[in-house]
Amino acid sequence: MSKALLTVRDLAVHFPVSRGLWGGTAMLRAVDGVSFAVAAGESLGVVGESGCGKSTLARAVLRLIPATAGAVIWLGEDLAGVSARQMRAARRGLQIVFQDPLASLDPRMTIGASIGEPLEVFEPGLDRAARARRVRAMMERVGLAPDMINRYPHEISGGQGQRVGIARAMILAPKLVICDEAVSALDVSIQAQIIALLRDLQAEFGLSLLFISHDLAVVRQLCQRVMVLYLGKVMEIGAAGAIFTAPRHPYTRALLAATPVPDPLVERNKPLAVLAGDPPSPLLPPSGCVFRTRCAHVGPRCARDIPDLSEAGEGRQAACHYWRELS
Amino acid sequence: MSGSPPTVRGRSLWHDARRRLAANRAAMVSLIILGAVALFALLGPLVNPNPYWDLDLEHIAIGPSLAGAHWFGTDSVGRDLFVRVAVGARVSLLVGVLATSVSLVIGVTYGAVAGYVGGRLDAVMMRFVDVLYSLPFLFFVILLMVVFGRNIFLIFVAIGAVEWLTMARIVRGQTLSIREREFIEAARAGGQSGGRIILRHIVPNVVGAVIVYATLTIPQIIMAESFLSFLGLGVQEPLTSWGVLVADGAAEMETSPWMLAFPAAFLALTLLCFNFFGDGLRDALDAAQREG
Amino acid sequence: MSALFRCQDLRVCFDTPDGEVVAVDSLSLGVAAGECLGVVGESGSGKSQSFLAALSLLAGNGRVTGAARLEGENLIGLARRRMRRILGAKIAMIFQNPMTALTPHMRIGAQLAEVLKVHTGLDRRQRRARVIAALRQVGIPEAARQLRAWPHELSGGMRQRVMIAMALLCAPRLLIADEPTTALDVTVQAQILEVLRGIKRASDMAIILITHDFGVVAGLCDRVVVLYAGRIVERGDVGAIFADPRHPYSRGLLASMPRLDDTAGAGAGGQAIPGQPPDPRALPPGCAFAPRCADCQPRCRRERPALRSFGEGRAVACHLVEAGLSP
Repeated sequence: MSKALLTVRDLAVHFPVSRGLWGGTAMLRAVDGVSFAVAAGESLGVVGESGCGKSTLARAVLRLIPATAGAVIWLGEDLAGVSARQMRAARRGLQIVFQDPLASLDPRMTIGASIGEPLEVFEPGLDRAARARRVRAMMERVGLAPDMINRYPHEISGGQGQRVGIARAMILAPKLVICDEAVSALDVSIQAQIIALLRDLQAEFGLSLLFISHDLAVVRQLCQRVMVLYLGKVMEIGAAGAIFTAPRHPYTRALLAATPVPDPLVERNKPLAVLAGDPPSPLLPPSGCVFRTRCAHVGPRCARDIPDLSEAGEGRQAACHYWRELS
Repeated sequence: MSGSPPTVRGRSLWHDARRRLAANRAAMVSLIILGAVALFALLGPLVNPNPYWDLDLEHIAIGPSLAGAHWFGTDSVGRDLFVRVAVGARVSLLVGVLATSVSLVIGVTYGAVAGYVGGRLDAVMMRFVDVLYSLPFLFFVILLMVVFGRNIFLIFVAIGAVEWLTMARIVRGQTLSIREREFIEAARAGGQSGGRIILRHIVPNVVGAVIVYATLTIPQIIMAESFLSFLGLGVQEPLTSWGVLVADGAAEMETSPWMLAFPAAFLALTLLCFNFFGDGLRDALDAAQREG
Repeated sequence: MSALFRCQDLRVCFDTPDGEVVAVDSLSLGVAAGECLGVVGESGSGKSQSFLAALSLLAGNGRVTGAARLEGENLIGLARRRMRRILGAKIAMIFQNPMTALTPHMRIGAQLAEVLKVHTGLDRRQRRARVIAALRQVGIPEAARQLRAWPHELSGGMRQRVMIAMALLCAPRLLIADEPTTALDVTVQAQILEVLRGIKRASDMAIILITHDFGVVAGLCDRVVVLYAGRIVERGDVGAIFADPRHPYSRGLLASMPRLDDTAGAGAGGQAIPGQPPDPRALPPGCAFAPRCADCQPRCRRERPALRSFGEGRAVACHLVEAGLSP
């Protein structure tokens, strides 16, 4: 097993939410005890629906928001304890690409300036010409015409904007890039291009990816390992092949059953497996297993004990009391 | 490998805003008029042979006549009104622009830091502003005048000291809204320090609102200075400002209406033009903001 | 097959500061009672504008020519009063974001009753009964109690169900659904699609489903129309289109689209379509897809291909297919 670049242990992010004048404060458990590791050159997909905490997780790993508990170990060092200056230095190797390319670019800066900004911060010795050369080279690498270097964000399309975001993240040759729904806001044909680009960059730079998405089909194309989140907790984690072909956790099964496949023969003949009800509020998570209110196979233990992640074969773990019975 | 390939010039949001502003007729006319007033202030005393302090005792309180020596007439002690209105323009415009600039620099720095850092520091900084805000402006100015005498620089220190408070509040508000936007988060994720983010990302994005507010502040400051002068707390004789001229002119309104009419007209016209231009600027920048 | 709703040579233009922009051109399609037609396209394809135009819901600077007949009556240019009578009663439209479509300051029961008040002569008790029946039909639990709920109290999935209920109140002949599930979580999307499937089975209402998601189309639609740059490029039965797409655009999309059942896993995915969707303000002469087409011929750049049928309701707008040259 290759050494892990990033190890996250029991990460928790809780937000106090005030409930009005007389309601007191409730705790919103956005991320509640998540552990995983990402090795060099590997991509881990993080899937889940709204409210599962995946975006909060990304921001907590990068320390853009403070974690309530748990450890984030990057290249052997726990980021929770480091100073602001050390954190800034760590950011050189740990980058992020956001969902909305145009919102994540400063509207007053040209895209060349945005892409070159990390160079200004981390390699201040470079003169303007050298910086411009590196920016152009990176632009070509991500499929942007270098003569667009002076364009402004509002003049380019969503797909081009996302390439700018990727160029900016990649220009310092980071070791791990977090993609927070990086292709979700793009047209289907452009999505395919960006996925191909990420794959190429991974192969060329030995890049690790933490790929957050609600779209399982995209994750399947891109990631070797998958982590399924629900209400801030890990439901299933492990090798993508195993999880996609034979999911052990009822929630993973429901997600896979619900994802439409572009094939009428498959879609029309799918067994009906619609998940009932709505996700519970993260302010009032159910006791025991958080998924039990919507689980078709809920049993007596589910309300009492929180299930731990247990080995479920084929390189994956599932957090379910009854996974053996259900397989 | 030799030279860089030809690049396409980008079309920045400022460019769009400029274009929109140029299409706004009221704003453009106002700008031209303001330019004319500035020119008048600059060149008036040069083209007119009469110095502004000179008492022409033979021509006391005579009416305006383009043919004669005194184009706008004279005041009650024989000073040429044309030159005095021009000098008054200099003083009023100077006070307006300088006080605004001072309040801008202080206010933007203060507001951006408070807004970006947030938390306890922001609370303390803003409470300080609230306290200063509640002090009666007039009282403060009278105190200054009594202690230091009537000095033109003191006037714009006093006014600037009050105006930066509102500028700080506005900038803080803008900063708060920008701070949550994704490109700021991207900058933090890119390892940029707080200072750099404020300077490179927050300030350029609040500049639009700041410029609009500044353009609308200048007329307020001119009004404030005129008000002080009207009360007798303004510039010292024989230096004059529009406020002083209006005060003097109001006293002679029935017998020598031109003494009030000229300075009042200039004052009103200038204030109107600043307001029109500021509104046009805001419309142009708002639309550009929405596009961006 | 007699069409319940038929568009003929629909053309939608907008007057912009940059000149006239043609968003939709020579659009002709039809849908029969009880049938579900999928209208697929990416941004700029004109898929939403076509139907907004047919229902006179275009923005102020839009102009529409051509015909859009519902049971023979042309909706284009119809007197406003007559249009208001038809909208809601004979045709209903549901949109992507139910929050903006529901009035925030009225309880949902009241909003639903409002529709009945406008279009029918029912009294209060009858209206209430109908509203409860509609809410039950879309699967909202405790329908009678939910009458008093405010829109912001409901989840996204519930709100979309309310929207569908509102659309069904007057038993319209045609339901136009514009990206009804795009903003929803995948498990909620599955629920809504199941509701729509149920409605389709139970009545002979026709459905036009506008979407970018081929998976959704595969599960719900009988026939499909593919739009590109404001024109139809391919048309046919859903089985035929998915099994044997003829137009290079449809082929490229279906080949490069991430699929959940893709066993090749990480590192897979076909060749993405290069380039970007065209800017409607600057459409190329000839075929709009030519700049991105791998098989582009000189003729394609000069001449715009017409939509030609070739049996069993299939039609393609491509010179190569016409000439029998495409594989």
